[in-house]
Amino acid sequence: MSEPLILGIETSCDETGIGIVRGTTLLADTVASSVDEHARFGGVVPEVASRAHLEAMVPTIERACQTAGITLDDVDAFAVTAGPGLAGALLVGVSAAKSLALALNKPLYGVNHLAAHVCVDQLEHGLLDQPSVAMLVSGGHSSLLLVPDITGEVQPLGQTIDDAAGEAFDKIARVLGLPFPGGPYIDLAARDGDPNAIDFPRGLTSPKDMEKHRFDVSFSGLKTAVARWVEREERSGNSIMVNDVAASFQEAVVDVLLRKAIDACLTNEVGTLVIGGGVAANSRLRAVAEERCAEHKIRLRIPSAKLCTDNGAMVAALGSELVRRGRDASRLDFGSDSSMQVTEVVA
Amino acid sequence: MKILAIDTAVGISVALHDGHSVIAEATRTEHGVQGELTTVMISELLVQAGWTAADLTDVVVGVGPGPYTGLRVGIVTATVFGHARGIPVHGICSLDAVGHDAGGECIVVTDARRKELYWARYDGGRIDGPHVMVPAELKALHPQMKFVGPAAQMYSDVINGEIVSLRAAALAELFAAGTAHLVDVSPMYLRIPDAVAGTVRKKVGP
Ligand SMILES: [Zn+2]
Repeated sequence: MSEPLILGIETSCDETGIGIVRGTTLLADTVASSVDEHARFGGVVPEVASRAHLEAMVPTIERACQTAGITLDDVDAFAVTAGPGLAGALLVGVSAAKSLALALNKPLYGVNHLAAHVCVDQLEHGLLDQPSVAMLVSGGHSSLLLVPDITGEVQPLGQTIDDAAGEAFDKIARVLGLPFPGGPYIDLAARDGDPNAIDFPRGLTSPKDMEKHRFDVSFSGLKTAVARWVEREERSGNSIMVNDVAASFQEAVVDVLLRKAIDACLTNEVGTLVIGGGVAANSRLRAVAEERCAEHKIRLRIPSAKLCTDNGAMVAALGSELVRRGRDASRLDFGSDSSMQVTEVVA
Repeated sequence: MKILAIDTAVGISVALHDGHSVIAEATRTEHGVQGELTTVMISELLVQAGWTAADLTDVVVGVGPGPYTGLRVGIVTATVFGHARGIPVHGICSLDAVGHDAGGECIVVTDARRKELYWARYDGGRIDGPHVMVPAELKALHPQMKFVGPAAQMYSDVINGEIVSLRAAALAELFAAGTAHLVDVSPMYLRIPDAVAGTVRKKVGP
């Protein structure tokens, strides 16, 4: 008997993602993004995102089915991001998924976006180790999680106390006159810069902070430090070495994130670290993570860059795992939840 | 002919129609529960009628105007359902449902939030609108007209009309009779999105 065919829908932010998997085999990962419409605002505009999701929904489902070479009738179960995310955006995906489940009389899983970011790694690197530590870093989240069981037991260890990691990249990109979204542009500029040129602060790493915020991160202090440094140089009439600033800023972010992640693995005696979210596409983060995990004999798992960003494949991957483990589907009257807690894996 | 009609421009209204008459219908007037309950209500109607999703031949959906977040639920439910079943989806201005039920010459009003009303003028069919306007301006424009609709007494000091609820069944009736004014299946927003440069960050969750 062939493994179950799962279609996943993701609409928590500005990407309309439809993913199709059979077991842990990825068949389609189709994404329609409204990022260009938001670029001129320097951030995602919720109403613009919701409008775009509605327009893109049916065409994106259609394209994904074509890519996978299946029809909707073939699907065994549907999965959709129930939260966390932008309320109006989530609602479009959840309504679409419920309609599919009703029209085709198939089970539906309303799933947690953060858990899906972790589970997507199963599509490339086999079943997750139990337990794992997961670090999710993107424009919307910076979370450190202890994951004994991705289908039911996820514990938050720490998170950002101000900006998300990706937001920090966006803000510094703006300071340096680089385009939105900032992550890829900072990464690119940093390649020709010296990461040790400027010693920017590492937030929440002092012994005092570590008592209260051992696994939390903070980027607002770093952001201010970079902005002040740039202002001061400009006032002194110096030209800004964009590459050096980008590299030094990036180094500070990467250093803090990985210090906390490795500490979480060692403290909890967990041998596997999974990194996900859009910032996991950052080349420096990937390189330093490899070095430090090797040093501490921790198994490092990072999905390929395309699966790190928001997409439907991650939702399908978690749906598929829930089916494989025989978990109950969601009731059709579940609501989308913009502040869904990571401890709630299925709605 | 077996029609599924959906409207979420005001609350939630769903109906099944067999081409001759309404077989089953349900309407809830509260706003904000569309995401939870629209599909559940359709599912209950199908059971009530003894139909399955596979029996349906057409989907009719109210495309607003209405508060956007709720409105989109009905539209995406309809378009995805039609796509999944391979049946056509037809859009009708939501206010036409009220115009049909009220009959005669009238102005249909629904809540547009921000102290404004969505409105359209009817005489047999829709002859003006839909528009969005503050109540005083609308009253000044049509001082003698009869006002009907879910919001007909919302601003009763200015406009005091007759409450007529919005029934998806009326959309199905218009479609079955061949008298519906069909439009694109995309929301009648009537306003451009609020967006101020740089004030909304990409941020989700707590
Ligand atoms: Zn995400």
